[in-house]
Amino acid sequence: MPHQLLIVDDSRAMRAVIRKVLEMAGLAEAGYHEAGSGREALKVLAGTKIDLVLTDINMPEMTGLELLAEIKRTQRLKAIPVVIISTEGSAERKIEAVKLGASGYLQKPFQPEAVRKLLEKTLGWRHDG
Amino acid sequence: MTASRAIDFLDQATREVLETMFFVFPDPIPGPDQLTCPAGEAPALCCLIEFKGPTAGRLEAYYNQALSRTLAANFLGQSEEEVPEALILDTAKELTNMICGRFLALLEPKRTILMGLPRSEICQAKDPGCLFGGEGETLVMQAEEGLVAFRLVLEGVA
Repeated sequence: MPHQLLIVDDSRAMRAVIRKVLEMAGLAEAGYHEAGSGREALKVLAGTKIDLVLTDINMPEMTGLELLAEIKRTQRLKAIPVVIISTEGSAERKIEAVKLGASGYLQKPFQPEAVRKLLEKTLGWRHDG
Repeated sequence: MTASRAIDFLDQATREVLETMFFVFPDPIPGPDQLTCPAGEAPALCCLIEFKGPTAGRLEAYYNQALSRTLAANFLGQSEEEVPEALILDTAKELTNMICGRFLALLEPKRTILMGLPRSEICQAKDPGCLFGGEGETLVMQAEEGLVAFRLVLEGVA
């Protein structure tokens, strides 16, 4: 059963780019799900078993950090790793994300290689080729 | 913090974002006051982000049409012909979002500055001087593919 990944970003273009980067990092066979806000992401999580969430922070309706907090306080969801991919990069924000339970933090703009290394480092995923 | 230093940070942020994720290599145009409309031809894509916190203000960005399409194509890894129109504006918004975020990280590396959601529109250059009127500092950059112009307003900065 391939990994099921949820990409959360209010930019459709950015969601497409993140997916492409993940596919190039060896996750071409994964199942991809998308959401444009934290609230939409929770709807996806309610109906699909997700293995990894990658989320932006600054989004309408519900921010990525609010989504992260909600995931980590929900028994059924709290084991899912959540990686933040955001334009915000202050030390303060990164600490906040880690305290809420983020498994990794990547600031935009990013090199595709940084995504692969983040997945390996935080999740122990290694894909060759 | 001076306006000049802030523009240096904006220049750096713009280059980093455009080079890393959009494969575009711009250079600043000296003497931007001499330009009347950075779009070259109307209309242009205009994006605005407001921010608040230890530093407050706003960033306006203007991309001429040719550049906008190239940016979207490069970002998405598609040809210019196959890029959906809807994603061109979305890409311009996300680009502005990334530039603003990187700029603010250079300005205040330790503290959080809250960014609003980017707003965008197709703007008509009705008044050739419209993009350079008013407060703030301007930065215009030229890439092989076209022009991008910024107006930066920082509260409390001379």
